[in-house]
Amino acid sequence: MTNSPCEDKQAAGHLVWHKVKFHGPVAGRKCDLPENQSGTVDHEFINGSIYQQTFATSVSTQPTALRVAGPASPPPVVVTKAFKGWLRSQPTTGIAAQALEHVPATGVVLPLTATAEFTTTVTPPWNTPSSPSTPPTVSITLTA
Amino acid sequence: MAEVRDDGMGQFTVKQPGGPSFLHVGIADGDATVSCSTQMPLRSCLGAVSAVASWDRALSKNMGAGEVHAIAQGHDISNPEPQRYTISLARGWPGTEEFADKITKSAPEDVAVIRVDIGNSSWQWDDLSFSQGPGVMSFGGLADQSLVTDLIEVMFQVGDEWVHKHLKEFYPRIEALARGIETNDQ
Repeated sequence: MTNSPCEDKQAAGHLVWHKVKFHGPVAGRKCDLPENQSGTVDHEFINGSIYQQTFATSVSTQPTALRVAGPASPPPVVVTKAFKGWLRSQPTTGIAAQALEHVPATGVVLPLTATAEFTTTVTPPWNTPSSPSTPPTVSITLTA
Repeated sequence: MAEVRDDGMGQFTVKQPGGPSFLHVGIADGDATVSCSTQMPLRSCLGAVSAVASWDRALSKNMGAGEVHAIAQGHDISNPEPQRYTISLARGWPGTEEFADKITKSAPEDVAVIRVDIGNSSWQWDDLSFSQGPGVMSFGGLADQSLVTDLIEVMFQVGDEWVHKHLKEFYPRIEALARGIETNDQ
């Protein structure tokens, strides 16, 4: 599967995935973010392991014309161990969301591709956190 | 020295302060999950499961299936989607090398984590070296909570030196935890 330019996914060991998807305010062009507007990043945390896992994430953006609206880290999400069904297990999921906004008059020439990079920490029950070596990112086109 | 954490609701962890070693027992929803740090590669951990199942009737019965369903991820982060596959086993596999051999050979060459579902049990091996340092791995099992002592037997086989020492020390408390949860459930 090929990702669209504004979504990404990343594994972090322990059979977990973190997928991010950006929903912008421009209908039909979900990666575009006009000035003074904000869009939403949806985080899907997927746990395929035999352990309950806690997912925490924080965002950094560049350039400064793109910034997070509200706290950089949404509340950590606890995802139960994978469900054991008929013959094999199925992953369980948790969701978090945060908003990114396009700050006007920051001296950048529009349109411009901005990025948001997410640092994810996954913590098993014995409290030894780990992070993926390559964090997931989203690319967003800042427009006038 | 050990850091002990007991949440009073079936989650019990003993951790090496400042080090990578740990052992964990979690009892919830009728299942027991037991995990520990290990220095053993995947094949040796699966070999320990097979060896214990060869003489432990309860575990053998719980794992009684001719098919293994596995899901694995490699270290190659450009390909984070896990691979799923199914492996057939001959009858009477406990005690043979078939279980460990077939699963290990089917796993990605750069396997970082693998979960194996067989019968009513699941087993998971993690290579934690990328986050916890070279040679740090973990192995764990999930089965009906009545099998908690059988799962601990496997952990005793695969655990590192720190785990051996502390499993002996905390075994009575873990047994009491399992009994307590059983009693509470009735």
